[in-house]
Amino acid sequence: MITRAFCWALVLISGAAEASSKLPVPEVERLSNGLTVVWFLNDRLPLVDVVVLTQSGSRDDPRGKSGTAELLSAALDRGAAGLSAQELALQTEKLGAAKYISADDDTMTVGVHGLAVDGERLVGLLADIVLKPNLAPLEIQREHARLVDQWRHIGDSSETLANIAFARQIASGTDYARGSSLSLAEFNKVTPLDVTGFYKKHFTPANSVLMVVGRAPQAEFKKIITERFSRWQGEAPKREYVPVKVPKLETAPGQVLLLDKPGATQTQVRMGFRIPLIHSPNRYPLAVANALLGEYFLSRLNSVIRDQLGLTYGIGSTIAYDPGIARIVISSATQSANTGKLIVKTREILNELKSTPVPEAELKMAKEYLTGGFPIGMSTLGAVASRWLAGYVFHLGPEYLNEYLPRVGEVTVNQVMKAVKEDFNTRGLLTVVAGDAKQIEKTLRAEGIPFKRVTERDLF
Amino acid sequence: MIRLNFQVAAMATLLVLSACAHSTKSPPEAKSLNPDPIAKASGADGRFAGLGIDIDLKEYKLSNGLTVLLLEDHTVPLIAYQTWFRVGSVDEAPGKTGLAHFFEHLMFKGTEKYGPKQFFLQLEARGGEVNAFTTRDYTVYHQVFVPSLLDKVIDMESDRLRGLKLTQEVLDTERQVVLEERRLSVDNEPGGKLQEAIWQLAYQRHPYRNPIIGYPQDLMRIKLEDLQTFYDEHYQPPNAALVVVGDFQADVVLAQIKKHYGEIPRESRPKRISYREPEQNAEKRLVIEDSIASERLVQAYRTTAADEPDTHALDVLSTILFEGQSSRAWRRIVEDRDIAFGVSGSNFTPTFPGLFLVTVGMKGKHVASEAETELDAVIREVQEKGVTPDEIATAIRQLTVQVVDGVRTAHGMATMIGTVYTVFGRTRSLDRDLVKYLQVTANDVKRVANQYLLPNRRSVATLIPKPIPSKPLGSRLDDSR
Repeated sequence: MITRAFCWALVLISGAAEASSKLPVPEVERLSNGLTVVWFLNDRLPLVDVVVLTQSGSRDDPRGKSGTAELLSAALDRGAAGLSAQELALQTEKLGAAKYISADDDTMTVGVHGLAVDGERLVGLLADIVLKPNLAPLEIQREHARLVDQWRHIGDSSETLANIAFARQIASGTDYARGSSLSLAEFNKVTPLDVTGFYKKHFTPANSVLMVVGRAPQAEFKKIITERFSRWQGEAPKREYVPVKVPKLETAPGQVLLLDKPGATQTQVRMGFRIPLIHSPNRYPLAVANALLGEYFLSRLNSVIRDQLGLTYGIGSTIAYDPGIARIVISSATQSANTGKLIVKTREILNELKSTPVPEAELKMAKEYLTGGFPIGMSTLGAVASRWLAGYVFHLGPEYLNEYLPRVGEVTVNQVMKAVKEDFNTRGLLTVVAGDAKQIEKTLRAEGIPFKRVTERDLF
Repeated sequence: MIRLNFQVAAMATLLVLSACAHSTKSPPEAKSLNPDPIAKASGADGRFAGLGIDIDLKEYKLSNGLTVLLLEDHTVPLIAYQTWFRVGSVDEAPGKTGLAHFFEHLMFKGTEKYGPKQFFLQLEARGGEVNAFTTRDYTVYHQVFVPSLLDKVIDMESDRLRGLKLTQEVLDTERQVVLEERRLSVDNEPGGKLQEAIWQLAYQRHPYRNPIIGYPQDLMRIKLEDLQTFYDEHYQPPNAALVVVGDFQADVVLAQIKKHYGEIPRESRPKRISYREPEQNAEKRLVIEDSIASERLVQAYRTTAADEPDTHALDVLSTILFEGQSSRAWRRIVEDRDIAFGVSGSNFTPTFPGLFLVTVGMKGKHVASEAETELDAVIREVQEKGVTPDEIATAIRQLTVQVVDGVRTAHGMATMIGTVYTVFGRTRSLDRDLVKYLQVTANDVKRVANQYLLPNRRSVATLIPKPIPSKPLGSRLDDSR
């Protein structure tokens, strides 16, 4: 039975926007096998996306075999329903369509995107990939070799090095520290049987959501979806998460992790700390605090470090929520000689935010930035569907998008300061820099910043 | 007012945008799927029945020469406002590279009326999107915001068109920011380095050879007088086009635009120098080193400008060769030979004759010359045996999806309109372009492959790993297997 589980008639009101708009209302149903089907339909453009999201990812990799989910996502693109990878690609691309398959820590996504007139064929292709993947051992081995080859390239970019090092460092001690794979040694243990085993365990209707977004004749789509997906069987998997520590990347308080990339003339900088999970009562005050810290051009970080000092082309902070971990991450890049200065200035800005009450005018600006940007962020059906899916994965309840504007609007200076004091762990601030260590060391020493030097090899 | 059929505009845009698109294609032995509206549209009637989107674009020219393009779209309460200046790196004199892009930064530094950072204060701090970009041919300032801010945007944009305040202090600070941007996107980015190298290699005299962001030595030499001269020459109403798409009433907005922009005096439109690039008669090659794990290759064949007739067939050809996993080049190089982790290609056709670009990232120890051999074979096959009508139909479908994707937002739609207008200098004759596009035949594709994709018309740049003292991760990975 189709139910209107999520009623999102929403009036968008902000300091800047008296305009009103109604967000699209999805229809949600559950098939008898437990598969949740979500419909975001409109006829504005002749496009449709059909997507299956499975709520398992790299976090669910078998113990000692990290990389299994990543390898499965690659293998799913290597043929289905007896069609080879090439035949499957041809079937898709003849329609002008594209398929996308990916894995992250908590989910795996398989989708096809194309013209609405091809909707039924797109559903058929999706069903083949999700329900009848070939997962041929030779193809899995080939993808394994391809992924190993790709990992060889992480050292090509300081940005990639900094991102991986920081992600592992900040998540050390949790089941998020592995990322897509902890080490080559673990990845080499992953066999085709592990990949098919992961698929069978996690790709189940009870663990998945099927979403239709765009122009689609619902009755026809429903018929083919029912035909193709209702015989899919399986329960939600039992979870066994494995926390991981990465001592090589851990640092003492105040110490910078320096990742050497000889010859680089610019340093990639990542700084940050963990914050409470998304269900924390400080969620909205933290959103406002982060906005004024580093989300827009007039934010504190950008105003000082780019606009006043010219130290960087860009600096910003983001809140990154996952179901089991959350963090604030500051990202920037600067020429090697300015590395220490940029770190010192950033620390000063963080400390000032923690010690001095935020002026009302600044609070107002941050709130207006968030609420005024909401309609832009929701201006396409795909964007709304994406936000909806995030809310579903995080179990935020049907009203979470409805709550966003009023909850941000209610945030006070006191709430921001309380959240910053409680959750901005500046003592535990982690800093990773990636660049030419010889150059960077000088600038860190000049600023009195202790550091721990590591190499690319220490990441795996 | 002109009324454009969506497909007309969309397909015309392909002429410009497909260069940026990876191409596509399905193999010649593939069976044709059932014809559909798109496939039919590639026939003679020039219609794309079934897409069902119309664009009611209104075009005006103010007495001072400013072009105004308005498109109402009341789907969501947002407006995309873009100002397109016909000035890019192609307009820079020798030794003055980076000037056009520099303005992308300076234009936010304030006027007498609106001081520094007002765009961010008035718009971004209220949730609007504010940004700019520069290409070889044009510079664009763009915003997305709620309708209540439109009057303010018109006032601020019209103000900075001629009222920008340039100071030495701003120049000094922003120079450092631009140098950081260059370090980020070129000097410490192997892909950026290779792109810069191939453009420099492919052109001998034409300013397309220069990087949009500029050479560091030129950036260091920029003086305040250079900025003022450049601004006075290029930031004039006849050299600009406003593109506004979204939730507004066109007649009301036009009146506001006339009120704010109408007082700006008319100046002559700057003349764009048409550099004559010498014919290329021999292959050019370059090898550079960087700290990378495996070799990368870029080939650039000299081709056409956007408004030349062969552009249409070249676009289709690049799509057939490179778009998607079933494309000819992907199948051969990535799937069958398994020597690369990716291959892409596109026909980049700007205002002046552009480049047919091919990029390959090699796997493991495979070297770029292996990919060159395979690419030559793929191209030779088209030159000798041609392509099938099915392949052409597939290419057009893929390009159509890309274009529709591009216009999902008001910003995307405005960008499409601005691109077509700026590159082609017109909107009224787009239907002619469409007809030409849809009339591309298998023979046309074979002909342009034979005419343009020749070794003596190409430049080849290879990025190879630089030996470093420390043992790279790749070696360790290899050792451990």
